[in-house]
Amino acid sequence: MLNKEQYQAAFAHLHASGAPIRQEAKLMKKGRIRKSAAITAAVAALSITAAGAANAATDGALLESICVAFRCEVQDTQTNPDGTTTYSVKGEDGSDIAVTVTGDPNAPRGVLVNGDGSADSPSFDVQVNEDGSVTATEKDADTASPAQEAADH
Amino acid sequence: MDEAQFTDIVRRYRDHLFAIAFQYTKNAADADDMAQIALLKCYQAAAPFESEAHIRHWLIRVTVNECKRYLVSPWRRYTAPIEDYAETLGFETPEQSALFLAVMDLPQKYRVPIHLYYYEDYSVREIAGILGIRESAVQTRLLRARRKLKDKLEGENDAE
Repeated sequence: MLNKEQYQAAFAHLHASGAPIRQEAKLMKKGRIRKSAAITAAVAALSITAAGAANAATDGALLESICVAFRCEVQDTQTNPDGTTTYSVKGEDGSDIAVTVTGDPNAPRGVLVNGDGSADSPSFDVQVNEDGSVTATEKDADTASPAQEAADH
Repeated sequence: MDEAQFTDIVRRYRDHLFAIAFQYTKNAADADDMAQIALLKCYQAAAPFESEAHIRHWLIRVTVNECKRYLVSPWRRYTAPIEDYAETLGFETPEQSALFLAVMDLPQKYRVPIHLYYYEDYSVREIAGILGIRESAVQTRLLRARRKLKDKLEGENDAE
């Protein structure tokens, strides 16, 4: 017969990781980072960890509510007067990349920005344009309804 | 909420929220994300909390809601075999390991009420409130989950 002591002893072995949640909260307090941005940055940090451990992570490990995540280090986040958000990230080669994301509700969700500045998504065909913008079109859509993100290199 | 209060809440509830989210995700990385989102929402919450029980209940409800959204989201990590993850948990006895695996083998609709009842010590009524289902549904799920666990664990003992 199952009892609470047995169950609690077994499941007490489950522990969360030590991801830097307090740091994200501190940034939110200072007004330097919006909640959604903080969550994105936190997920980005987790993605990097997972990629390092598993040496892969091509799975678009994102949440539905998050528009963009990064396979590279997010160094700063800034909300612009026009409502867009600019993420300053460090590329694989050490270069600085600025990615500006629109607040457009039709913008693609779950686009993954790679360390080399390219981007991909399980649900969208993502193309990095010559001017640095990113065009995302829903895969297998009969009618293309591209949603735009500007990613200035 | 000041930083000291938040730090205390993270210290006390993070593992609990992770364990609940794990019942949904069966994936440590995603469970971490769910717990983290709930805690950040708590940090941002405008309304003051009335008591410790209120904070705990609120955090668990937010975690459950985030997990429900996660389940319908296409953005999910591939789930590694639970047996592989269980090997990393350092169970003291084979019985603990067997119980963990048996619970994780249950359908998700049984795992969550079982966890809230046996780990978080919530009543049937409280679980119904958290999950947004009727008390009778919680009772039925607990009953069926116990039967399934009994069959599974006794079956394993018989096999040995």
